[in-house]
Amino acid sequence: MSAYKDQDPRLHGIKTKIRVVPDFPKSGIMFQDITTLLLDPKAFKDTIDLFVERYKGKNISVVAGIEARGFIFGPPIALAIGAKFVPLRKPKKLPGKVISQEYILEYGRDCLEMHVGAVEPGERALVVDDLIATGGTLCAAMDLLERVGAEVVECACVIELPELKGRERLNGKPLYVLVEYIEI
Amino acid sequence: MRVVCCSNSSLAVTATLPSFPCLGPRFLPRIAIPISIPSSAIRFLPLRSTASPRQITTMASKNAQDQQDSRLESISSAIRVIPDFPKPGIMFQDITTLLLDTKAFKDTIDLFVERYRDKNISVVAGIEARGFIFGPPIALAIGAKFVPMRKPNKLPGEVISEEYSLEYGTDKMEMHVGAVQPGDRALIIDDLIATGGTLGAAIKLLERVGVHVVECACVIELPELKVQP
Repeated sequence: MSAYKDQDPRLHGIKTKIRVVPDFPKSGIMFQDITTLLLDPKAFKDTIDLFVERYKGKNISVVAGIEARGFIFGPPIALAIGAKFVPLRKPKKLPGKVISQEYILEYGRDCLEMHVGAVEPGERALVVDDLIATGGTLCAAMDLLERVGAEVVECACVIELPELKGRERLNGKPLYVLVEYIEI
Repeated sequence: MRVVCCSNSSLAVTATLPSFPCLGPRFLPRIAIPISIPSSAIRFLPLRSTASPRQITTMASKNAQDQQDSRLESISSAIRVIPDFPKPGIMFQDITTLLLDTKAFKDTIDLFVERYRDKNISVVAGIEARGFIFGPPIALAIGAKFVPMRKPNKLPGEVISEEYSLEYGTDKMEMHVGAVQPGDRALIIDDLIATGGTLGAAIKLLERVGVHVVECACVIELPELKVQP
């Protein structure tokens, strides 16, 4: 589901604040830069509000944010809906006991880690990242949470790149985004 | 039991930062947590432990009576210490357990917001990656923009860089060109200050573009660590 289709008036302000940087990190990629959104206090607040309005009262006990830009959007949402915040990190960043989930990249693999004990069986979780592209990272995040018995209620991202079909990769898990970026 | 004490004196505080040409006094609020090490073997605290060997010896105070804010005790006990991470001898201060305690996390943010909301702060700069967790909620609450200060090659587009020393070698911090303007009043946020090297680099980056750094704010200070020259 995309909020943009619902035409909430706040969305226009959010979309125009996202900066597209061509050929980053490599040639051919149109990078969706959310840092310019963060420079607009109203648009940043609206972004958080849109997520909070959707998830408040849904009994979400965990917001899991994917390093590093998921750390920017996840905690304000978690604080507003009274959920705990769980960082999902690249390898070797979290101290103590972790569980790991490997996932495939375009070339090679990467790995996402979560603390053992951070999430309990039966908890209702939201996964937050700034953007969904192929869905690989979000899938790894969902796997981690489901492996410890949590229920992933939804994945929430500011931006979707629908042409990369990440939504389909989520195995039927609902995805909610605020804006889509489609290359013309 | 050895307890590391923080002083409330603002004079002692300014001494912990490297000296830069500055536009005004800079001091660290000691909002939390000295470390105490039990005389027996160092224990690994379970994730949800409320039993903490920590003692709070001081806090940031905004009133003349220096009254201890009752929220600080639960913030302190929510932080987990992990021995020998990332390498032997280091007692790692793990704030992820604080983030699992919804009330303590909210209290942490509230304490900062109460301190900064009337200070005309236009920018909150958060240092990657744990500064990204505390900075944005503060920025949102005080109506400031949030600027991420990142490791090299993460920020797209034009950046300015500042190199800083590590124990062995150097690292680099980057900020977007144009994110801040001359005259902006900035707060720098990180989860913890150790030697001050990272915070020092952040201060330099902001001051190079004409920003006034009002204060650095961290959840945790390790006051025994000497500052990099």
